Amino acid sequence: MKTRIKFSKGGVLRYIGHLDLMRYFQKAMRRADIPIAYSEGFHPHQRMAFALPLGVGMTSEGEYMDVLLDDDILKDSIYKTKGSDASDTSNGFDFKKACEALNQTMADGIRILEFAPLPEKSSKAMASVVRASYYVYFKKADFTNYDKLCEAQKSRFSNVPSMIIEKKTKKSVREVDLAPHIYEFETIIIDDALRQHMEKFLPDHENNGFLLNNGDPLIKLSLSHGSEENIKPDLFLSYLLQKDIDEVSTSIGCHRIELFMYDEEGALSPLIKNVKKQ
Amino acid sequence: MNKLALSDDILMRVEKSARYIGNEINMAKKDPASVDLRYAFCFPDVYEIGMSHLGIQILYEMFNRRNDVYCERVYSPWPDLHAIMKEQHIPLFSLETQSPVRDFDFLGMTLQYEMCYTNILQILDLSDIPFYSKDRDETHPIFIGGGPCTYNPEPIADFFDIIYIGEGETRFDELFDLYIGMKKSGSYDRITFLHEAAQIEGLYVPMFYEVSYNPDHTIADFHPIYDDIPKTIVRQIKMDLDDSPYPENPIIPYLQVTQDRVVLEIMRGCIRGCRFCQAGMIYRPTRGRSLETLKKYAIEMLKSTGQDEISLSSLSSSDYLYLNDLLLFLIDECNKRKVNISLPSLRIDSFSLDVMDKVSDVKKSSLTFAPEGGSQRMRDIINKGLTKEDILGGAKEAFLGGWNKVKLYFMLGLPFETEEDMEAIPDLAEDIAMLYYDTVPKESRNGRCRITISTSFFVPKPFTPFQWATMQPAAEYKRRAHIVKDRMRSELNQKSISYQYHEPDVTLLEGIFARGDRRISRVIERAYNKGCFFDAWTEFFHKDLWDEAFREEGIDPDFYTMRERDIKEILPWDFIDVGIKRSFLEKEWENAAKGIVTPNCREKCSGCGIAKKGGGVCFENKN
Repeated sequence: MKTRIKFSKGGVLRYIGHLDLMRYFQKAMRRADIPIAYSEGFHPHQRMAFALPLGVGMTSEGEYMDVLLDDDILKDSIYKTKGSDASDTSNGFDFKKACEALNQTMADGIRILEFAPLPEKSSKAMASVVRASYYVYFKKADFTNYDKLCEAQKSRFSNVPSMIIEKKTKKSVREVDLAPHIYEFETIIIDDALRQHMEKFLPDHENNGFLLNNGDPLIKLSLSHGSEENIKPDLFLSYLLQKDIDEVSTSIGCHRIELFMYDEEGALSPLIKNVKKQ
Repeated sequence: MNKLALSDDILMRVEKSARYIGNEINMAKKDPASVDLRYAFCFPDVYEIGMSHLGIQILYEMFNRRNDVYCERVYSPWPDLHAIMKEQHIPLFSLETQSPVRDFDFLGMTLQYEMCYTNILQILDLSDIPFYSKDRDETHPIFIGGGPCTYNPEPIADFFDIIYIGEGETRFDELFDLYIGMKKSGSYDRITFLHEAAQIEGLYVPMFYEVSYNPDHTIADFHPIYDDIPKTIVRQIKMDLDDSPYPENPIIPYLQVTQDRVVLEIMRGCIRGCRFCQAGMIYRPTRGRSLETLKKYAIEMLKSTGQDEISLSSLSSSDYLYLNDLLLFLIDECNKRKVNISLPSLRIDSFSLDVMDKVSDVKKSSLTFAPEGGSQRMRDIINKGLTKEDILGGAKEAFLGGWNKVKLYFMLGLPFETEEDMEAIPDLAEDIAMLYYDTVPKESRNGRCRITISTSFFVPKPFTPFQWATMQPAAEYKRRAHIVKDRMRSELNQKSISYQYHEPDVTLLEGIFARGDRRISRVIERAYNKGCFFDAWTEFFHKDLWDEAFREEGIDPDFYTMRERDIKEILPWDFIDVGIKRSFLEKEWENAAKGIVTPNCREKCSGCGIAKKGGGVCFENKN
């Protein structure tokens, strides 16, 4: 059975890299006895795939991974539900119980937010991602401020037909036009609610002097991600503020809010489609 | 625990910041204010190495079972972070509570290899603790060391307040009770505490012992300065391993560490008595855990960690009495759980080949033999009870079973070594290659067989029959490696054989540390101050700086390496009683010279002296 997990990552675990996070989840699946499917061959590995790697230092409340469950193992699993009727979409698997068991064995900083079945014909999380939304905060007080951001928005973003910037990858340097890839850009002033929200993921922000107090500017961004074009927040800010990307990268912090796909009807949706809760 | 010792700015700059954040699954969590004793346990190397060490895991478990003790971990910051900490005066911190090491009651350190000695000073330096025991006061933690290197503690003795000789399971409770008792009654002062500690069996407090030297630098006398502390320090042994703590919920690192798997320690000690091997002498008597205990630990640890691999740990695992039963049980359980078994090196026979066949990908794995000596003469000298027939017999069976890769490990520079012994190394590889082509018909061969020879240079270690032996100059080691190489090139099947050897520079320094005396600590200090640390890592080893350090201290390295010691000489470690008699080692040294083989402990007791401890293999058939 195809399933998808949504999780958050924050606190000190933001320093765990992508590969280490994968190994962490493989062990967590075993500890929680999730009836996960394994590949064939002499060194079987778990059928688990992440939607989009999260860089070291970034926090998130919108991470996804696909997990394939083995229906045969499920039959004898502690997560097998008793009576299942025809309207049951969960294939006799107790998602709620599994979610709780995983959360029991999570390290402080990672929470499983949702664990849901996927229709059999769904495409992989990695292939589905088209867009990602972020909060971008500032780590260094002298880097920029609210007024400068608004000014930059006016002169370099609003009603600008194209936004050309050099994008360096490991292999090449090429020019990209950011204009079609920025779906949302808003500068917000942090209030109580937003501060408290961010504190859940960055409880140590005060020790580090991050600008996450009431009145500090916070940028909300929604950018292209996935196979077509990958635009990271630091690239956009580098364009916007006309600063070197390395300087931008060390001066900002990114918090991923959500990953989006197009659903069967072609509508934009989070990677786990909102379903009516009974 | 959300406040880290390092700022985000630093963590984003250094390599692998996950080394420094703690918060792993199964980490011990306590309120430091609620305990009477805080213990920082250090492995003086990088996190990935230190986290792979089983000994710390055992003691971490044992210490944290006490409600009045909180044991935390400390590792060496990698050079990138080291530079930042020095520059910004950031004190070294523990992983659990991220608090300064300087604030702990104890700083414990395990010394597993000599080349970590400069890292001892790195830890003290970054913790803002004086290097020498004599320079510390009530505000500093008690600095205690242990581990195999401390069986000759002298080169590092001046750095430590206490050195613990033996297995950690035995005396720590007594030591902690003493400390807590004195603190609570208000009678604590550092010197009084150390004086009391020195009376606990197995604990060596270097500052209470004096050494004097002869004009030729050999030791004239070694004695305690108080009458009420022992003249000899007796190694402590945990005889019943089933009745001892074991980390059933070990910490699970985020980073891929060297030993990234569940580890089952099946046995301590070794019955074989190879004359070069320190572990084979200092961990006597051989003691195993029971099959039932190990089965229980295996299941419990796989459940609590979710690890996908398990390995067995011991010397000469084939000598564990219940190995077959244990492996069959593990193969069954691990198949069910999709867990790999990482096999220890096993004596090659039909059972082990069958096991290897079941647990590993045949085509990829290679077969390992450690004959250590190339000729039978040399194997008799070192008492390696492995004959050419054993090796060829095992290889033949393996070739028939589909293997075609063989790894061979040897030592060069062993005592009494001749050119014939060196040439016998590639000759043995040639014989194995010939055997492959004779055994496996052309149509069933999967290409050539591949035989890899590795040699390391022998380092004489304390408490071995070779503790009196001389080493060789670097040029001589290189010459010997070239003899092997040249001979290999002349073999008929040279295309099936490859040869690797290590550079001898580190070997000689290791030899100095292994058998050094108290004068060496000043050289280590000087080398550290010149920038030497992480000497075990080739990229950080600076021979030139070490040469300078010896020169400036006026110490001739050759004194420690380039001479055979007289049997009558007082050796720096003679005051330690590891349980085997000096007379046994002397006899073994004589037997080596004559090429006389000593049987293993199960064949016949050779009277090494360990039987007086009343357990282990010495009493196996006496119930």
